[in-house]
Amino acid sequence: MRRDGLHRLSVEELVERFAAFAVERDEAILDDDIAKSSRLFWKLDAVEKELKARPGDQRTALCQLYAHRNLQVRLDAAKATLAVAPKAARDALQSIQNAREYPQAGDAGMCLWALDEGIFKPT
Amino acid sequence: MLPVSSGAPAGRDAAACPDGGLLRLRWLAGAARFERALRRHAYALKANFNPDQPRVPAGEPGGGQWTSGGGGRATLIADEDGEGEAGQTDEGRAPLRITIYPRDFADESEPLSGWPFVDFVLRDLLPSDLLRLDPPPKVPARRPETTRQRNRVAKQVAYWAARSALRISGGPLGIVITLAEAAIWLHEMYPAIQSYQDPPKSLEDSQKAVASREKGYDVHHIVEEDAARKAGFPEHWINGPDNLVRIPRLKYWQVTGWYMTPNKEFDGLSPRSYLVEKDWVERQRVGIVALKLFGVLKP
Repeated sequence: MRRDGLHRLSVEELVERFAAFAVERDEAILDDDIAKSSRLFWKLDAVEKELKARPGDQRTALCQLYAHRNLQVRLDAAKATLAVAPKAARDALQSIQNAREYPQAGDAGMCLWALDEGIFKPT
Repeated sequence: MLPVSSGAPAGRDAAACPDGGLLRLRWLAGAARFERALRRHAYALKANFNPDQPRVPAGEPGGGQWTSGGGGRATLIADEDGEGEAGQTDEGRAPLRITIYPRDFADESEPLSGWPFVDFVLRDLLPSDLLRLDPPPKVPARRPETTRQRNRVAKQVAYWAARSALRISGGPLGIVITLAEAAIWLHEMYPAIQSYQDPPKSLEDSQKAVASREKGYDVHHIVEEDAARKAGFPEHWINGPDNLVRIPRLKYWQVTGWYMTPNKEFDGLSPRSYLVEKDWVERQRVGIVALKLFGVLKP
């Protein structure tokens, strides 16, 4: 996704946009719509990059989504904040894994595994 | 339930319209025959129908019902009238009982014609249990037109049932789902909904299970089949007993979906793409870890 339009949004609006994309992604996953889920992954990535580019790295604003009612939002927010809030993000991922609500629990578990294995080094 | 089963109002219509009355009655008789055939078909499909499947002995709770008889898996009951005894799980715990049944159906003589959705009814639960559950998903009374729509409903029911069991009993044990004819189309999805409630199994048991086919399950390649073939791994590795496990269908879809979707931990690659450059041992290692973390295999 082009980030051109995102730079006009406030941090708060970017967080809202992130949550909306993640909810949409949850629906795509439920429908096994891999193409749509993949597109939304890159839309989330673009929002995350925009927040990272803001002064002071505003990805920390996504931490508020750890309490979102949608599990996919919590999962995507936790992954996106591993570099800026490693302890809190790991705790959020662990909580999702412990909830045993799949597929998000499996995805969270694989993320923690990749971190422990050194495969995933958040930046 | 088919809309054609609204016998009383249709009879009144026929009587009030003498010219078309005979035709109307013939049409109704044909529709009723069709509906009975549909029901027979649905019951043949129920619970992975297998004449050799064991039943609970007479005189015991749930006597005469089908039972899976193994591994802590719940008994599956699909009664015509929504009644039936749940019995107990292998662990001796009373199962969570979920009835896919219209709330008002038992109290009213009118059939369900025109009802857009069928509600769940939860039985045998304490009020404190009910408070811990999310609202159940809506099951369309009419069979959705597309496979994707039908799968979506099946997944919503299966996920909700698993989530409810976790919140009430703390584990994936003791789910009994009772179908009434109101959601007759859901019978076809039943094996997948039920198999999703399985607790994690050992790798060895999942490998051995490949030898027997069962509805609601799929054979999964631990090292992905197509990717392995493209990489030139030998066929006897790809389809060898060490690489095959039988797993619940909805879990199979979840794991496959995860393999195919871009992922942050693999730098934006899908796990499938990430593994392209890896050897057999690494692919196998990741494959087994994924099955464990998606709740298919025991940790």
